[in-house]
Amino acid sequence: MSESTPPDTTTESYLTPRKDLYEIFGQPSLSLKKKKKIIEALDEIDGFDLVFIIGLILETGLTGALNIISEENEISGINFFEGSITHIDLPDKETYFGNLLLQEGLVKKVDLDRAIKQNEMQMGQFLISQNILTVQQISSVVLLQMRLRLSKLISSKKFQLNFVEAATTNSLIKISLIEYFDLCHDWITGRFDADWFNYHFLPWEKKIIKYNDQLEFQDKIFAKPLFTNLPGLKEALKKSTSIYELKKKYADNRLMLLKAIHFLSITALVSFSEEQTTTATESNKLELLYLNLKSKKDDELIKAFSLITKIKEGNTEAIYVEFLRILEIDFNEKELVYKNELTKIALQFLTKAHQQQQQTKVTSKVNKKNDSEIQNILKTVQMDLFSNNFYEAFVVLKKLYEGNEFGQKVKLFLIWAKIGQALKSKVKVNIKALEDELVSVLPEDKESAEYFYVCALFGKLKNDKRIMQINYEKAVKKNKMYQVYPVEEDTLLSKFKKALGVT
Amino acid sequence: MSRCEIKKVGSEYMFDGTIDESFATVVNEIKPEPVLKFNFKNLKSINSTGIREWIKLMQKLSASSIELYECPKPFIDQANMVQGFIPANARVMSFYVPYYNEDNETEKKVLLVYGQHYTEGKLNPLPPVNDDQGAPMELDVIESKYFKFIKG
Repeated sequence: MSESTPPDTTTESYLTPRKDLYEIFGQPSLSLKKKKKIIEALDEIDGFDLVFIIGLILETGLTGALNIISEENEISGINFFEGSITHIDLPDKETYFGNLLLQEGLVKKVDLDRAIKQNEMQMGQFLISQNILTVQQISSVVLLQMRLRLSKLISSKKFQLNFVEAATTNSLIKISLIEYFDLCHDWITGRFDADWFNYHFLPWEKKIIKYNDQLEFQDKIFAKPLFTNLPGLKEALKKSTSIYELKKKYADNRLMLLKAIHFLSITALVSFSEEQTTTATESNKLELLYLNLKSKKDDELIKAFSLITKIKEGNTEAIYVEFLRILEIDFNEKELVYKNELTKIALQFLTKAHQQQQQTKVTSKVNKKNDSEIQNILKTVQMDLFSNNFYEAFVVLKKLYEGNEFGQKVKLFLIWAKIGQALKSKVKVNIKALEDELVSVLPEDKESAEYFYVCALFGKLKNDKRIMQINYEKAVKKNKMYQVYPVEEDTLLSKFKKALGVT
Repeated sequence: MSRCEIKKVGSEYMFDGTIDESFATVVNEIKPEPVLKFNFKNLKSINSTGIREWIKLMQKLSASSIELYECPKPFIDQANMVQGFIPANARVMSFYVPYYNEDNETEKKVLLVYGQHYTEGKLNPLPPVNDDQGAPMELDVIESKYFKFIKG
């Protein structure tokens, strides 16, 4: 036998494994084995792709463990049992069971310490045996833990994964496919960014969308907030349309449209056929790519190249080479002009990315705010919000938001400031836009008292007494502090007081 | 068999079942020796907690020379993705490669042996594999990914 070295993985296909993955629901006759093979073929994926992969495993009803390995070699995992998620393993202290019990106000520290110290039974069982918690309370915290842990995996972080079929055990506490769709809705609205969608959909931009009207849950899916401001989408999808055409129809709400299409593709309600729409029979992928990239500023360009090539920012040469390869794959004679322009843009990327890498080395340590600094800023901002100093809060939050410090309720507080200012000044605001923003709040923030409080304020802004009351009650239930800051309808007396400047 | 069981048969530790959260309690049976031989013929699967526990075991046994025999696909998948899963003091002495015939949906696992089918950084051309009826079978793994660990 002659000797050979194993094939080099770095030259494997652009988009193809991912493309196969996202086209899976367009091939209903695909065997289970082939579906598993498509998952196995995936190289590095990002956390946003995980949303689809988990959905696929649930839909195929597989039982086993999805092992997820991050770039930092952190190991996480998800256990599945016949179409349900039964366990999330994530080495994350914030979502330790005990921490969550404390956060939810279900146990006292002293009781938790006792439960940790004993080693006769599991913590939950011990707390039940001591009549400190009920089975229902334990179940609700385990579910909360699963939701929070899943949310933490959904990010732009890169992962490798493998699925191991195994006889894992069933669990009474689990996330079903339909419950998973609820989570997907929140992640897609709140966590995915616009650029990801633009590049994600490029291969299917002009492909005919196939609508699957056999699925029972379709009405439930279309009733979700994501579709509120996309009237007639369901009907449009049934008429052999494409993303390209839908973008024209919903020109003022394109991001929401892409989010909606992606959400529907996870539920298998839509998939893409190989056929293009009749108005777009010619392939013009390079033109679309050029239109997407031509006006990008330096930072945006660097991010966009990473998204297109699916290679992490910082690997400049690898991104550059992969991009040129993509140009070759998608090239047709009619697009020569766009290929040339894109090659120039690629060179521009190369220069800018090198410059940025040099600058980053110098400035990153100086500029980046750490978590505790942001927490302190947010505490001050929250006091401003409670004191009706909405504009001051808005200025600080906007700065944080533009500095990409998205986490830790920044987005939620920003919406709070906007609604508060609108209520205070009585200026007419775009309710629809605010509603979209509220839908886009980070999923984990949607569990917080602050979120319900902001929803209550939004109810007040919309003159919807029911929404106002329900959400205010939820906020108080989560955190008693909100009793001090009631959200009430404006009465004649309160209006009179406001006019006099009396609080 | 779901949880992992470890039995010493002759000079080999035989692993049976699933490497998972229960692994931490059973590995105490393994005592450091100059050369340790682990056999995974009956290993069914490994989950994320099991991977972490395995890495801990490897760290604990860093002074031994570890030989890994009859490694199944779930084990090799982790070896290809997780740093430290097969540390420098360990070597895969043999591992299974799955084959498949799409026409009659039959599967076969072929054992590749160190020194015979592969050595450090080098994989010999894979032998042709036929099913029981003599029909040729296809490799049932992604070639470029599955043999990555051989490169070291």
